[in-house]
Amino acid sequence: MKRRMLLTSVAVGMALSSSCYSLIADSLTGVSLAEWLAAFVLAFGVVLVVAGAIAELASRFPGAIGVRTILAGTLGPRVGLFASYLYLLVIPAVASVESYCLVRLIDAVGLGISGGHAVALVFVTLLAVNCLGYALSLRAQFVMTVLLVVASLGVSSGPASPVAARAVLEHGTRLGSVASTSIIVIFLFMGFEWVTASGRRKEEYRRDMPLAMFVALGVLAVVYLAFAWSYWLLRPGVPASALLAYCVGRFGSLGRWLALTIGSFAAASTLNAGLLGGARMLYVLAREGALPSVLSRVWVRRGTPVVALASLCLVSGIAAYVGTITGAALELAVLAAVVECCVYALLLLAAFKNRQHGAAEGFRSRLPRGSFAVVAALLVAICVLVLGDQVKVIRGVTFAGLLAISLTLLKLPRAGRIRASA
Amino acid sequence: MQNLQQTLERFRSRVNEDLRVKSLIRNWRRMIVVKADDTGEVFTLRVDAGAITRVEPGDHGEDELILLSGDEQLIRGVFAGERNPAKEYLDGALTVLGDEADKMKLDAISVVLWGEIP
Repeated sequence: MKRRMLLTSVAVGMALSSSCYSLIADSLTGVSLAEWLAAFVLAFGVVLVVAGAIAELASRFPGAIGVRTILAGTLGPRVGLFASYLYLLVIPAVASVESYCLVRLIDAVGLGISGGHAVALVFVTLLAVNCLGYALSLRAQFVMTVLLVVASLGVSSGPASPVAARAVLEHGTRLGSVASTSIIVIFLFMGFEWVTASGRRKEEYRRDMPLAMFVALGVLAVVYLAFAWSYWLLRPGVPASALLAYCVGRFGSLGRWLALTIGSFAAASTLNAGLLGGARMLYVLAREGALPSVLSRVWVRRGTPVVALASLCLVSGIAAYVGTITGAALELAVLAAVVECCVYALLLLAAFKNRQHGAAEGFRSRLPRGSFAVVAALLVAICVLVLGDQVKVIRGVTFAGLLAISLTLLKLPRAGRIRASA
Repeated sequence: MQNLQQTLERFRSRVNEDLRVKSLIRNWRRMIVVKADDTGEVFTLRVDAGAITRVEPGDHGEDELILLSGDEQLIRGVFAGERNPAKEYLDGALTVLGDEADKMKLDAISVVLWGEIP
Protein backbone atom coordinates (compact mmCIF):
# COMPACT_ATOMS: atom_id res chain seq x y z
CA MET A 1 0.00 0.00 0.00
CA LYS A 2 2.77 2.38 1.04
CA ARG A 3 4.77 1.59 -2.07
CA ARG A 4 1.71 2.07 -4.30
CA MET A 5 1.14 5.51 -2.78
CA LEU A 6 4.76 6.47 -3.42
CA LEU A 7 4.53 5.35 -7.03
CA THR A 8 1.22 7.18 -7.44
CA SER A 9 2.78 10.38 -6.12
CA VAL A 10 5.66 10.04 -8.59
CA ALA A 11 3.21 9.72 -11.51
CA VAL A 12 1.12 12.68 -10.28
CA GLY A 13 4.20 14.81 -9.61
CA MET A 14 5.58 14.16 -13.09
CA ALA A 15 2.39 15.41 -14.76
CA LEU A 16 1.29 18.25 -12.49
CA SER A 17 3.02 21.41 -13.67
CA SER A 18 2.63 25.15 -13.19
CA SER A 19 1.49 25.57 -16.80
CA CYS A 20 -1.51 23.28 -16.19
CA TYR A 21 -3.56 26.11 -14.72
CA SER A 22 -2.86 28.50 -17.60
CA LEU A 23 -3.56 25.80 -20.15
CA ILE A 24 -6.87 24.86 -18.51
CA ALA A 25 -7.87 28.53 -18.45
CA ASP A 26 -6.75 28.96 -22.02
CA SER A 27 -8.56 25.87 -23.26
CA LEU A 28 -11.78 27.05 -21.58
CA THR A 29 -11.90 30.06 -23.87
CA GLY A 30 -13.77 29.97 -27.14
CA VAL A 31 -15.59 26.73 -26.33
CA SER A 32 -18.74 26.02 -24.38
CA LEU A 33 -18.47 24.13 -21.12
CA ALA A 34 -20.15 21.13 -22.76
CA GLU A 35 -17.59 21.15 -25.58
CA TRP A 36 -14.76 21.45 -23.08
CA LEU A 37 -16.10 18.56 -21.01
CA ALA A 38 -16.54 16.45 -24.15
CA ALA A 39 -12.94 17.18 -25.10
CA PHE A 40 -11.81 16.36 -21.57
CA VAL A 41 -13.67 13.03 -21.53
CA LEU A 42 -12.28 12.15 -24.98
CA ALA A 43 -8.72 13.02 -23.98
CA PHE A 44 -8.99 11.30 -20.60
CA GLY A 45 -10.32 8.15 -22.28
CA VAL A 46 -7.38 8.22 -24.70
CA VAL A 47 -4.90 8.68 -21.85
CA LEU A 48 -6.45 5.76 -19.92
CA VAL A 49 -6.03 3.44 -22.91
CA VAL A 50 -2.45 4.71 -23.38
CA ALA A 51 -1.81 4.00 -19.69
CA GLY A 52 -3.17 0.46 -20.14
CA ALA A 53 -0.86 -0.07 -23.13
CA ILE A 54 2.16 1.35 -21.30
CA ALA A 55 1.43 -0.76 -18.20
CA GLU A 56 1.37 -3.93 -20.34
CA LEU A 57 4.58 -3.00 -22.12
CA ALA A 58 6.31 -1.93 -18.90
CA SER A 59 5.55 -5.30 -17.32
CA ARG A 60 7.35 -6.92 -20.25
CA PHE A 61 10.28 -4.47 -20.12
CA PRO A 62 10.47 -3.54 -16.41
CA GLY A 63 12.69 -0.62 -15.47
CA ALA A 64 13.53 0.14 -19.09
CA ILE A 65 14.05 3.61 -20.49
CA GLY A 66 10.55 3.77 -21.94
CA VAL A 67 10.26 4.38 -25.63
CA ARG A 68 13.76 3.34 -26.66
CA THR A 69 13.65 -0.17 -25.24
CA ILE A 70 9.94 -0.87 -25.59
CA LEU A 71 9.66 0.26 -29.20
CA ALA A 72 12.95 -1.37 -30.20
CA GLY A 73 11.78 -4.65 -28.68
CA THR A 74 8.38 -4.58 -30.38
CA LEU A 75 8.46 -2.42 -33.52
CA GLY A 76 12.18 -2.58 -34.30
CA PRO A 77 15.35 -0.70 -33.35
CA ARG A 78 14.95 2.11 -35.86
CA VAL A 79 11.48 2.99 -34.56
CA GLY A 80 12.84 2.93 -31.01
CA LEU A 81 15.66 5.27 -31.93
CA PHE A 82 13.37 7.62 -33.89
CA ALA A 83 10.90 7.85 -31.01
CA SER A 84 13.73 8.51 -28.54
CA TYR A 85 14.92 11.49 -30.58
CA LEU A 86 11.33 12.76 -30.84
CA TYR A 87 10.89 12.35 -27.09
CA LEU A 88 14.05 14.32 -26.40
CA LEU A 89 12.71 17.20 -28.48
CA VAL A 90 9.65 17.42 -26.22
CA ILE A 91 11.76 18.29 -23.16
CA PRO A 92 12.93 21.77 -24.28
CA ALA A 93 9.39 22.54 -25.46
CA VAL A 94 7.94 21.62 -22.06
CA ALA A 95 10.72 23.57 -20.33
CA SER A 96 9.78 26.57 -22.43
CA VAL A 97 6.09 26.33 -21.50
CA GLU A 98 6.86 25.94 -17.81
CA SER A 99 9.36 28.81 -17.82
CA TYR A 100 6.94 31.10 -19.66
CA CYS A 101 4.22 30.51 -17.06
CA LEU A 102 6.66 30.89 -14.17
CA VAL A 103 8.09 34.13 -15.59
CA ARG A 104 4.60 35.59 -15.96
CA LEU A 105 3.72 34.49 -12.45
CA ILE A 106 6.84 35.99 -10.86
CA ASP A 107 6.52 39.22 -12.83
CA ALA A 108 2.88 39.57 -11.84
CA VAL A 109 3.54 38.87 -8.16
CA GLY A 110 6.20 41.59 -8.13
CA LEU A 111 9.07 40.10 -6.14
CA GLY A 112 11.47 42.86 -7.09
CA ILE A 113 13.42 40.68 -9.55
CA SER A 114 12.50 40.02 -13.15
CA GLY A 115 10.84 36.72 -13.96
CA GLY A 116 13.50 36.00 -16.57
CA HIS A 117 16.29 36.27 -14.01
CA ALA A 118 14.35 34.15 -11.53
CA VAL A 119 13.86 31.37 -14.10
CA ALA A 120 17.54 31.53 -15.08
CA LEU A 121 18.33 31.09 -11.39
CA VAL A 122 15.97 28.07 -11.26
CA PHE A 123 17.80 26.48 -14.22
CA VAL A 124 21.24 27.08 -12.71
CA THR A 125 20.09 25.72 -9.34
CA LEU A 126 18.57 22.59 -10.89
CA LEU A 127 21.73 22.02 -12.94
CA ALA A 128 23.94 22.36 -9.86
CA VAL A 129 21.71 20.10 -7.72
CA ASN A 130 21.59 17.40 -10.40
CA CYS A 131 25.31 17.61 -11.18
CA LEU A 132 26.07 17.19 -7.49
CA GLY A 133 23.85 14.13 -7.50
CA TYR A 134 21.38 15.34 -4.91
CA ALA A 135 17.90 13.96 -5.38
CA LEU A 136 14.71 14.12 -3.42
CA SER A 137 13.83 10.83 -1.83
CA LEU A 138 10.58 9.19 -2.88
CA ARG A 139 9.13 10.11 0.51
CA ALA A 140 10.00 13.80 0.07
CA GLN A 141 8.51 13.71 -3.43
CA PHE A 142 5.39 12.14 -1.96
CA VAL A 143 5.00 14.93 0.62
CA MET A 144 5.55 17.63 -2.03
CA THR A 145 3.03 16.08 -4.40
CA VAL A 146 0.40 15.69 -1.69
CA LEU A 147 0.86 19.36 -0.68
CA LEU A 148 0.58 20.40 -4.32
CA VAL A 149 -2.62 18.41 -4.87
CA VAL A 150 -4.17 19.66 -1.62
CA ALA A 151 -3.22 23.28 -2.42
CA SER A 152 -4.61 22.94 -5.96
CA LEU A 153 -7.88 21.51 -4.69
CA GLY A 154 -7.93 24.12 -1.91
CA VAL A 155 -7.74 27.10 -4.25
CA SER A 156 -10.56 25.56 -6.28
CA SER A 157 -12.92 25.54 -3.32
CA GLY A 158 -12.48 28.93 -1.65
CA PRO A 159 -14.90 31.88 -1.85
CA ALA A 160 -14.75 33.66 -5.19
CA SER A 161 -14.14 37.34 -5.82
CA PRO A 162 -14.51 37.84 -9.58
CA VAL A 163 -13.80 41.58 -9.42
CA ALA A 164 -10.36 41.10 -7.84
CA ALA A 165 -9.58 38.34 -10.32
CA ARG A 166 -10.41 40.49 -13.32
CA ALA A 167 -8.03 43.17 -12.03
CA VAL A 168 -4.97 41.06 -12.85
CA LEU A 169 -6.12 39.66 -16.17
CA GLU A 170 -4.39 39.77 -19.48
CA HIS A 171 -5.41 38.15 -22.71
CA GLY A 172 -3.58 35.10 -24.04
CA THR A 173 -3.79 32.75 -26.97
CA ARG A 174 -7.09 31.14 -28.00
CA LEU A 175 -6.86 27.51 -28.86
CA GLY A 176 -10.41 27.03 -29.97
CA SER A 177 -11.67 23.76 -31.29
CA VAL A 178 -12.44 20.53 -29.48
CA ALA A 179 -9.45 18.82 -31.09
CA SER A 180 -7.16 21.55 -29.81
CA THR A 181 -8.79 21.32 -26.40
CA SER A 182 -8.33 17.54 -26.39
CA ILE A 183 -4.67 17.81 -27.22
CA ILE A 184 -4.16 20.38 -24.47
CA VAL A 185 -5.89 18.04 -22.01
CA ILE A 186 -3.55 15.24 -23.16
CA PHE A 187 -0.65 17.63 -22.49
CA LEU A 188 -1.95 18.05 -18.92
CA PHE A 189 -1.47 14.33 -18.28
CA MET A 190 1.87 14.00 -20.07
CA GLY A 191 4.67 12.64 -17.94
CA PHE A 192 2.68 10.15 -15.83
CA GLU A 193 4.37 7.30 -17.73
CA TRP A 194 7.82 8.21 -16.38
CA VAL A 195 6.87 6.36 -13.21
CA THR A 196 7.56 3.09 -15.04
CA ALA A 197 11.29 3.65 -14.49
CA SER A 198 10.81 3.73 -10.70
CA GLY A 199 10.00 0.07 -10.02
CA ARG A 200 12.09 -1.88 -7.51
CA ARG A 201 10.87 -5.41 -8.18
CA LYS A 202 9.56 -7.12 -11.28
CA GLU A 203 6.44 -8.11 -9.34
CA GLU A 204 5.54 -4.43 -8.94
CA TYR A 205 4.91 -4.20 -12.67
CA ARG A 206 2.18 -6.83 -12.50
CA ARG A 207 -0.13 -4.91 -10.15
CA ASP A 208 1.31 -1.96 -8.21
CA MET A 209 2.66 -0.02 -11.18
CA PRO A 210 -0.52 -0.21 -13.33
CA LEU A 211 -2.65 0.61 -10.30
CA ALA A 212 -0.42 3.59 -9.41
CA MET A 213 -0.72 4.93 -12.96
CA PHE A 214 -4.51 4.65 -13.06
CA VAL A 215 -4.95 6.14 -9.57
CA ALA A 216 -2.58 8.99 -10.53
CA LEU A 217 -4.62 9.70 -13.65
CA GLY A 218 -7.77 9.74 -11.49
CA VAL A 219 -6.20 12.19 -9.01
CA LEU A 220 -5.00 14.43 -11.83
CA ALA A 221 -8.45 14.37 -13.46
CA VAL A 222 -10.07 15.45 -10.18
CA VAL A 223 -7.56 18.30 -9.71
CA TYR A 224 -7.98 19.54 -13.29
CA LEU A 225 -11.78 19.24 -13.30
CA ALA A 226 -12.04 21.02 -9.93
CA PHE A 227 -9.88 23.89 -11.16
CA ALA A 228 -11.66 24.05 -14.54
CA TRP A 229 -15.13 24.01 -12.98
CA SER A 230 -14.26 26.64 -10.42
CA TYR A 231 -12.49 28.76 -13.02
CA TRP A 232 -15.45 28.42 -15.35
CA LEU A 233 -17.78 29.74 -12.66
CA LEU A 234 -15.44 32.67 -12.08
CA ARG A 235 -14.84 33.24 -15.83
CA PRO A 236 -12.06 35.77 -15.31
CA GLY A 237 -10.82 35.59 -18.93
CA VAL A 238 -7.71 34.09 -20.50
CA PRO A 239 -4.72 34.96 -18.36
CA ALA A 240 -1.19 33.80 -19.06
CA SER A 241 -0.85 33.52 -15.29
CA ALA A 242 -4.25 31.98 -14.64
CA LEU A 243 -3.24 30.56 -11.29
CA LEU A 244 -2.34 34.01 -9.98
CA ALA A 245 -5.52 35.60 -11.29
CA TYR A 246 -7.50 32.82 -9.76
CA CYS A 247 -5.78 32.84 -6.36
CA VAL A 248 -6.04 36.62 -6.11
CA GLY A 249 -9.71 36.28 -6.97
CA ARG A 250 -10.17 33.79 -4.19
CA PHE A 251 -7.89 34.98 -1.43
CA GLY A 252 -6.97 38.61 -2.17
CA SER A 253 -3.34 39.66 -1.62
CA LEU A 254 -2.53 36.39 0.20
CA GLY A 255 -3.44 34.63 -3.05
CA ARG A 256 -0.32 36.07 -4.73
CA TRP A 257 1.97 34.18 -2.37
CA LEU A 258 -0.15 31.05 -2.55
CA ALA A 259 0.00 31.14 -6.35
CA LEU A 260 3.75 31.73 -6.28
CA THR A 261 4.29 28.79 -3.93
CA ILE A 262 2.14 26.38 -5.94
CA GLY A 263 3.50 27.59 -9.28
CA SER A 264 7.15 27.49 -8.21
CA PHE A 265 6.91 24.01 -6.66
CA ALA A 266 5.08 22.63 -9.69
CA ALA A 267 7.48 24.24 -12.18
CA ALA A 268 10.63 23.21 -10.29
CA SER A 269 9.34 19.65 -9.96
CA THR A 270 8.48 19.38 -13.68
CA LEU A 271 11.73 21.01 -14.85
CA ASN A 272 13.76 18.82 -12.51
CA ALA A 273 12.06 15.61 -13.63
CA GLY A 274 12.47 16.54 -17.29
CA LEU A 275 16.10 17.50 -16.82
CA LEU A 276 16.99 14.37 -14.87
CA GLY A 277 15.09 11.92 -17.08
CA GLY A 278 16.16 13.62 -20.31
CA ALA A 279 19.82 13.76 -19.30
CA ARG A 280 19.77 10.09 -18.44
CA MET A 281 18.29 9.29 -21.83
CA LEU A 282 20.94 11.43 -23.56
CA TYR A 283 23.63 9.67 -21.52
CA VAL A 284 22.57 6.11 -22.33
CA LEU A 285 21.99 6.93 -26.00
CA ALA A 286 25.53 8.34 -26.08
CA ARG A 287 26.83 5.22 -24.31
CA GLU A 288 25.37 2.99 -27.02
CA GLY A 289 26.75 5.26 -29.76
CA ALA A 290 23.48 6.80 -30.92
CA LEU A 291 24.58 10.29 -29.82
CA PRO A 292 28.03 11.95 -29.60
CA SER A 293 30.19 10.20 -27.00
CA VAL A 294 30.95 13.48 -25.22
CA LEU A 295 27.42 13.27 -23.77
CA SER A 296 28.40 10.11 -21.89
CA ARG A 297 31.06 11.90 -19.79
CA VAL A 298 30.57 11.31 -16.08
CA TRP A 299 31.72 13.36 -13.11
CA VAL A 300 33.49 10.52 -11.34
CA ARG A 301 33.27 11.86 -7.78
CA ARG A 302 29.49 12.23 -8.06
CA GLY A 303 28.57 9.66 -10.69
CA THR A 304 26.47 12.17 -12.60
CA PRO A 305 26.26 12.73 -16.39
CA VAL A 306 27.44 16.35 -16.24
CA VAL A 307 27.81 16.96 -19.99
CA ALA A 308 24.37 15.54 -20.77
CA LEU A 309 22.85 17.58 -17.93
CA ALA A 310 24.58 20.81 -18.98
CA SER A 311 23.69 20.31 -22.66
CA LEU A 312 20.04 19.65 -21.95
CA CYS A 313 19.90 22.54 -19.51
CA LEU A 314 21.46 24.87 -22.10
CA VAL A 315 19.08 23.83 -24.88
CA SER A 316 16.07 24.00 -22.53
CA GLY A 317 17.21 27.41 -21.28
CA ILE A 318 17.47 28.74 -24.85
CA ALA A 319 14.03 27.30 -25.66
CA ALA A 320 12.65 28.88 -22.49
CA TYR A 321 14.18 32.26 -23.38
CA VAL A 322 12.85 32.19 -26.94
CA GLY A 323 9.44 30.96 -25.79
CA THR A 324 9.21 33.69 -23.18
CA ILE A 325 10.26 36.65 -25.31
CA THR A 326 8.17 35.59 -28.31
CA GLY A 327 5.18 34.56 -26.20
CA ALA A 328 5.01 31.36 -28.26
CA ALA A 329 5.04 29.11 -25.22
CA LEU A 330 1.41 28.04 -25.54
CA GLU A 331 1.97 27.05 -29.18
CA LEU A 332 4.98 25.08 -27.91
CA ALA A 333 2.61 23.25 -25.54
CA VAL A 334 0.55 22.18 -28.56
CA LEU A 335 3.75 21.21 -30.39
CA ALA A 336 4.90 19.12 -27.44
CA ALA A 337 1.47 17.50 -27.17
CA VAL A 338 1.40 16.64 -30.90
CA VAL A 339 4.87 15.07 -30.74
CA GLU A 340 3.93 13.20 -27.55
CA CYS A 341 0.73 11.96 -29.20
CA CYS A 342 2.83 10.52 -32.04
CA VAL A 343 4.96 8.69 -29.47
CA TYR A 344 1.81 7.50 -27.65
CA ALA A 345 0.42 6.23 -30.97
CA LEU A 346 3.62 4.23 -31.51
CA LEU A 347 3.36 2.81 -27.98
CA LEU A 348 -0.24 1.78 -28.66
CA LEU A 349 0.86 0.00 -31.84
CA ALA A 350 3.61 -1.66 -29.82
CA ALA A 351 1.03 -2.88 -27.28
CA PHE A 352 -1.16 -4.10 -30.16
CA LYS A 353 1.74 -6.06 -31.63
CA ASN A 354 2.71 -7.32 -28.19
CA ARG A 355 -0.75 -8.84 -27.77
CA GLN A 356 -0.80 -10.11 -31.36
CA HIS A 357 2.21 -12.27 -30.66
CA GLY A 358 0.77 -13.38 -27.37
CA ALA A 359 3.86 -12.03 -25.67
CA ALA A 360 2.15 -10.06 -22.91
CA GLU A 361 3.68 -11.28 -19.66
CA GLY A 362 2.78 -9.97 -16.26
CA PHE A 363 0.11 -7.30 -16.38
CA ARG A 364 -2.61 -7.49 -18.98
CA SER A 365 -5.39 -4.90 -19.05
CA ARG A 366 -8.99 -5.81 -19.81
CA LEU A 367 -8.93 -3.65 -22.92
CA PRO A 368 -9.48 -5.53 -26.17
CA ARG A 369 -6.45 -5.61 -28.46
CA GLY A 370 -8.31 -3.66 -31.15
CA SER A 371 -8.81 -0.71 -28.81
CA PHE A 372 -5.07 0.02 -28.98
CA ALA A 373 -5.21 0.35 -32.77
CA VAL A 374 -8.43 2.39 -32.66
CA VAL A 375 -7.03 4.86 -30.11
CA ALA A 376 -3.73 5.11 -32.04
CA ALA A 377 -5.76 6.07 -35.13
CA LEU A 378 -7.79 8.52 -33.02
CA LEU A 379 -4.60 10.16 -31.76
CA VAL A 380 -3.33 10.56 -35.32
CA ALA A 381 -6.71 12.07 -36.33
CA ILE A 382 -6.57 14.55 -33.42
CA CYS A 383 -3.03 15.54 -34.43
CA VAL A 384 -4.08 16.08 -38.07
CA LEU A 385 -7.05 18.23 -36.97
CA VAL A 386 -4.87 20.29 -34.65
CA LEU A 387 -2.17 20.74 -37.27
CA GLY A 388 -4.82 22.01 -39.71
CA ASP A 389 -5.66 24.68 -37.15
CA GLN A 390 -2.16 25.68 -36.04
CA VAL A 391 0.20 27.00 -38.71
CA LYS A 392 3.16 27.61 -36.38
CA VAL A 393 2.81 24.16 -34.86
CA ILE A 394 2.97 22.55 -38.31
CA ARG A 395 6.37 24.16 -38.83
CA GLY A 396 7.52 22.98 -35.43
CA VAL A 397 6.30 19.41 -35.91
CA THR A 398 7.81 19.24 -39.40
CA PHE A 399 11.14 20.48 -38.04
CA ALA A 400 11.04 18.04 -35.11
CA GLY A 401 10.10 15.13 -37.38
CA LEU A 402 12.80 15.90 -39.96
CA LEU A 403 15.41 16.31 -37.25
CA ALA A 404 14.45 12.99 -35.66
CA ILE A 405 14.44 11.22 -39.04
CA SER A 406 17.84 12.74 -39.95
CA LEU A 407 19.37 11.66 -36.65
CA THR A 408 17.90 8.17 -37.03
CA LEU A 409 19.30 7.82 -40.58
CA LEU A 410 22.65 9.19 -39.43
CA LYS A 411 22.88 6.54 -36.74
CA LEU A 412 21.34 3.77 -38.85
CA PRO A 413 24.47 1.57 -39.07
CA ARG A 414 24.70 1.47 -35.28
CA ALA A 415 20.95 1.19 -34.80
CA GLY A 416 20.96 -1.78 -37.14
CA ARG A 417 23.19 -3.62 -34.72
CA ILE A 418 20.85 -3.15 -31.83
CA ARG A 419 19.28 -6.42 -30.88
CA ALA A 420 15.52 -6.35 -30.46
CA SER A 421 15.50 -8.68 -27.51
CA ALA A 422 12.77 -10.29 -25.47
CA MET B 1 35.56 -20.21 -17.34
CA GLN B 2 34.51 -18.43 -14.15
CA ASN B 3 31.09 -19.03 -12.69
CA LEU B 4 28.82 -16.16 -11.67
CA GLN B 5 29.98 -16.05 -8.06
CA GLN B 6 33.65 -15.98 -9.08
CA THR B 7 32.93 -13.17 -11.55
CA LEU B 8 31.16 -11.14 -8.85
CA GLU B 9 34.00 -11.75 -6.37
CA ARG B 10 36.50 -10.60 -8.97
CA PHE B 11 34.35 -7.52 -9.61
CA ARG B 12 34.32 -6.83 -5.86
CA SER B 13 38.12 -6.97 -5.70
CA ARG B 14 38.47 -4.67 -8.67
CA VAL B 15 36.02 -2.12 -7.25
CA ASN B 16 37.67 -2.17 -3.83
CA GLU B 17 41.13 -1.65 -5.32
CA ASP B 18 40.15 1.27 -7.56
CA LEU B 19 40.48 4.62 -5.77
CA ARG B 20 38.26 6.44 -8.25
CA VAL B 21 35.44 3.94 -7.82
CA LYS B 22 35.88 4.06 -4.04
CA SER B 23 35.43 7.84 -4.26
CA LEU B 24 32.36 7.36 -6.44
CA ILE B 25 30.63 5.04 -3.98
CA ARG B 26 31.96 6.76 -0.84
CA ASN B 27 28.59 7.59 0.72
CA TRP B 28 26.61 4.96 -1.09
CA ARG B 29 24.93 2.24 0.92
CA ARG B 30 23.01 -0.22 -1.20
CA MET B 31 22.16 -3.88 -1.72
CA ILE B 32 22.69 -4.93 -5.33
CA VAL B 33 20.72 -8.09 -6.05
CA VAL B 34 21.94 -9.97 -9.13
CA LYS B 35 19.64 -12.60 -10.62
CA ALA B 36 20.42 -14.99 -13.45
CA ASP B 37 17.05 -15.62 -15.09
CA ASP B 38 18.08 -18.78 -16.94
CA THR B 39 19.91 -20.60 -14.11
CA GLY B 40 17.98 -19.12 -11.17
CA GLU B 41 21.18 -18.13 -9.35
CA VAL B 42 20.84 -15.11 -7.06
CA PHE B 43 23.56 -13.12 -5.29
CA THR B 44 23.55 -9.95 -3.20
CA LEU B 45 26.39 -7.45 -3.23
CA ARG B 46 26.52 -5.27 -0.13
CA VAL B 47 27.90 -1.80 -0.82
CA ASP B 48 28.91 0.23 2.22
CA ALA B 49 31.54 2.80 3.20
CA GLY B 50 33.10 3.07 -0.24
CA ALA B 51 33.49 -0.65 -0.88
CA ILE B 52 31.64 -3.81 -1.79
CA THR B 53 31.84 -5.52 1.56
CA ARG B 54 30.30 -8.89 0.74
CA VAL B 55 29.03 -11.06 -2.10
CA GLU B 56 26.58 -13.56 -0.67
CA PRO B 57 24.21 -16.08 -2.23
CA GLY B 58 20.49 -15.30 -2.09
CA ASP B 59 18.30 -12.20 -2.27
CA HIS B 60 19.00 -10.02 0.76
CA GLY B 61 17.71 -6.79 -0.72
CA GLU B 62 15.36 -4.72 1.37
CA ASP B 63 14.79 -0.96 1.17
CA GLU B 64 17.99 0.33 -0.44
CA LEU B 65 17.80 -2.10 -3.31
CA ILE B 66 19.04 -2.26 -6.87
CA LEU B 67 18.06 -5.32 -8.85
CA LEU B 68 19.89 -6.58 -11.93
CA SER B 69 18.67 -9.54 -13.91
CA GLY B 70 19.34 -11.23 -17.23
CA ASP B 71 20.88 -14.36 -18.64
CA GLU B 72 23.85 -15.67 -16.65
CA GLN B 73 26.29 -15.31 -19.55
CA LEU B 74 25.22 -11.72 -20.10
CA ILE B 75 25.56 -10.83 -16.40
CA ARG B 76 28.99 -12.40 -16.27
CA GLY B 77 29.98 -10.36 -19.35
CA VAL B 78 28.72 -7.15 -17.77
CA PHE B 79 30.51 -7.69 -14.43
CA ALA B 80 33.70 -8.76 -16.22
CA GLY B 81 33.75 -5.59 -18.34
CA GLU B 82 33.27 -7.48 -21.58
CA ARG B 83 29.81 -6.15 -22.41
CA ASN B 84 28.42 -2.62 -22.39
CA PRO B 85 25.79 -2.52 -19.60
CA ALA B 86 24.13 0.64 -20.96
CA LYS B 87 23.61 -0.99 -24.34
CA GLU B 88 22.35 -4.26 -22.85
CA TYR B 89 19.98 -2.23 -20.63
CA LEU B 90 18.67 -0.21 -23.59
CA ASP B 91 18.18 -3.41 -25.58
CA GLY B 92 16.10 -4.88 -22.77
CA ALA B 93 18.47 -7.82 -22.34
CA LEU B 94 19.57 -6.56 -18.93
CA THR B 95 16.88 -5.48 -16.48
CA VAL B 96 17.93 -2.89 -13.92
CA LEU B 97 15.43 -1.80 -11.26
CA GLY B 98 16.03 0.94 -8.71
CA ASP B 99 16.30 4.71 -8.36
CA GLU B 100 17.48 6.57 -11.45
CA ALA B 101 20.49 7.99 -9.58
CA ASP B 102 21.49 4.47 -8.48
CA LYS B 103 21.26 3.12 -12.03
CA MET B 104 23.41 6.03 -13.16
CA LYS B 105 25.99 5.35 -10.46
CA LEU B 106 26.14 1.67 -11.33
CA ASP B 107 26.85 2.49 -14.97
CA ALA B 108 29.41 5.09 -13.90
CA ILE B 109 31.29 2.34 -12.02
CA SER B 110 31.50 0.41 -15.27
CA VAL B 111 32.76 3.49 -17.15
CA VAL B 112 35.45 4.17 -14.53
CA LEU B 113 36.61 0.55 -14.41
CA TRP B 114 36.58 -0.30 -18.09
CA GLY B 115 35.96 2.90 -20.06
CA GLU B 116 33.92 2.78 -23.26
CA ILE B 117 32.98 -0.78 -24.17
CA PRO B 118 31.90 -1.13 -27.82
